[in-house]
Amino acid sequence: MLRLFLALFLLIPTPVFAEEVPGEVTVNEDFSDSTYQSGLTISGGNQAAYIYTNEQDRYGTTGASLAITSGTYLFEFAEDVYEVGFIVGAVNNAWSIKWYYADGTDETVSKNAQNNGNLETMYETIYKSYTDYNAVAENTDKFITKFEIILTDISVLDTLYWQYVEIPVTTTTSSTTTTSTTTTTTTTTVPPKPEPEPEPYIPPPPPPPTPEEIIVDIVVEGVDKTYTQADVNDGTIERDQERIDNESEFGCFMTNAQIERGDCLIIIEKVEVFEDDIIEEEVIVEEIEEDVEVIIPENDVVVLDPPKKEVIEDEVVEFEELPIEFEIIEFDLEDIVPKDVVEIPIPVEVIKNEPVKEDIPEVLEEDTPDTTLPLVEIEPEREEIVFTEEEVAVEVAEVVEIIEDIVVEEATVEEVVEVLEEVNDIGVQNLSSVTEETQEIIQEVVEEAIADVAELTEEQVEVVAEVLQVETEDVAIIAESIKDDEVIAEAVEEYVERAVQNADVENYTLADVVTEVQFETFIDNPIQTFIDIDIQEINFSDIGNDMTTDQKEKAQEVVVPVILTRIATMAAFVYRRGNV
Amino acid sequence: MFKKLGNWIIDAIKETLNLSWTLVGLVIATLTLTGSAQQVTGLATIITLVIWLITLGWRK
Repeated sequence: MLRLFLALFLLIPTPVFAEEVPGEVTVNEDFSDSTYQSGLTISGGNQAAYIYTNEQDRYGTTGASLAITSGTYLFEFAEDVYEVGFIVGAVNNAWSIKWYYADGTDETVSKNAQNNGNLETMYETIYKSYTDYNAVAENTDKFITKFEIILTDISVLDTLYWQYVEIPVTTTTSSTTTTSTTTTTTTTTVPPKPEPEPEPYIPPPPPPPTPEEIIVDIVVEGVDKTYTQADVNDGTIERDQERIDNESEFGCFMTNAQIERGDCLIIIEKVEVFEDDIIEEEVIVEEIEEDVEVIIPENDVVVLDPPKKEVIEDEVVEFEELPIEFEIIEFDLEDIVPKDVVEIPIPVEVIKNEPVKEDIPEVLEEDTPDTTLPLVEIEPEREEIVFTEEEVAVEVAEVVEIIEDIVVEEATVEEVVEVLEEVNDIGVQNLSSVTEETQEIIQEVVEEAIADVAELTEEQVEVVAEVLQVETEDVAIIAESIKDDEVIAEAVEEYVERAVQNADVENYTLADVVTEVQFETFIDNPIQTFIDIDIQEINFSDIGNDMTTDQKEKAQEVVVPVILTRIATMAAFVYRRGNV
Repeated sequence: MFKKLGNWIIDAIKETLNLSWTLVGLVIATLTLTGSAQQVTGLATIITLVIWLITLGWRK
């Protein structure tokens, strides 16, 4: 009997009790371009968030994504949102999310650095929902008004969506009825009826979720790509078509708008040739025709279909017709490289910050069974990042772009650190392609940063330390040393120049520059080096404390072998005398 | 007197040459150091060398 009831219970379809949210609106933001969905405002960060078009479909992203570099980024909603989801990838350091709720409370969620073992899976999905919580009447509404992402290294954010309830606007109209009698020429005005109690609003049942109808099916580079009506409405399909066309023409997967504003690298290289002599338009057009043939198909690996001559000529005609382009060209052309194409420098930082922990082998446990051996931290060797020529060109252009806007003497700490961050992205030793003038400005920025080290935050000091290739705590030592040590002051002044000159030297640091400067001083005046000693300034209790860690290590590498060699020599001498 | 001084100078040069590799190492060490450590190393090198040469005859 029981089985019979059970069978009947299973056979009879029962209604789904899960309550749909009436008036629910879901907004998706895929960060395909810099125009965000209405209702979303993104602000904050040490550098403004921007659309990242490199490394598409990596770190869990779909197409382009939003690059967030460092600092606190605020994502604010115009509506009270009860559910938010997105993915965050390429996060090398510990980070956190701070949720702000409509009831005035907030919540901070700390996150660990992501594992960079596999870049395809180096992301995590963030999901915050209070659907059920808010459905309970006695609960305080936990709607999300905004959230912050706090991080310290460049990362990507993508596939953001949020849900809220759209409250329909109900308008109540009151009417006055007037009755007039013409025969008696008197007018009787009937007072308005009392306004009826407004009926409680019953939201209409939510429409059944209809799958988005695929209306266009296009094959792009062998991949079948489908579009929905929404894609057609918001112009996604047109922009994608423009990207396909522009890739086949110029080798740049970009929209017409991006091409026109000069985002395509080909245009930059092409125009650099004429930087010096823009005299007559006709002459320029001829040169463009010649040079584009060489530059585009041979050097740019992105080019899938080398452009035909006719196509380039057509494009050149467009330049002729647009004098504004030539005006831009007369300035520094490297400026027009967009920030969107910055490569994320990830592996070095990860390796630096993530020690590999390894247990002591079991053999030791046999000898000391009751002793728990400590974990051994093994710092793996740094991976050498090899930039391609294009990447170097892009990074250098970005550095130049920032430097052009800066007056070192008047620069704020933030501006100085921003320049240094850009320099770190490429590495000081890779600045050989910039002009000497630019190198000098970078040098001045470095000196400015060291001079203002007391005003810098810990994170900003880390940036300065990375430029000088020293430990963070050494920056303060250097800042103190340059006040009374001419050699170190000179080394800091010449650091950028010498680092560029020694681009082929691995792990070239400020300590190397100091040694070089000291050697040159010694060669110039050997006696003076040893005589110029102020005994009163020597503090025996502080010996070594005014040296950077890197300098100590380099000195050890020399001093220890010298002492050992001397001891060995003396031992051999004593041994010989003993045998005589 | 002058002959003794001359002999001592010759011996000092010889002894200094014997110490060539050690002195090269100490000079390089001095040049790689900075601050107080550099000054102390340089000073100690010179003082030790001077003492070493002055006591040349006594140590023989």
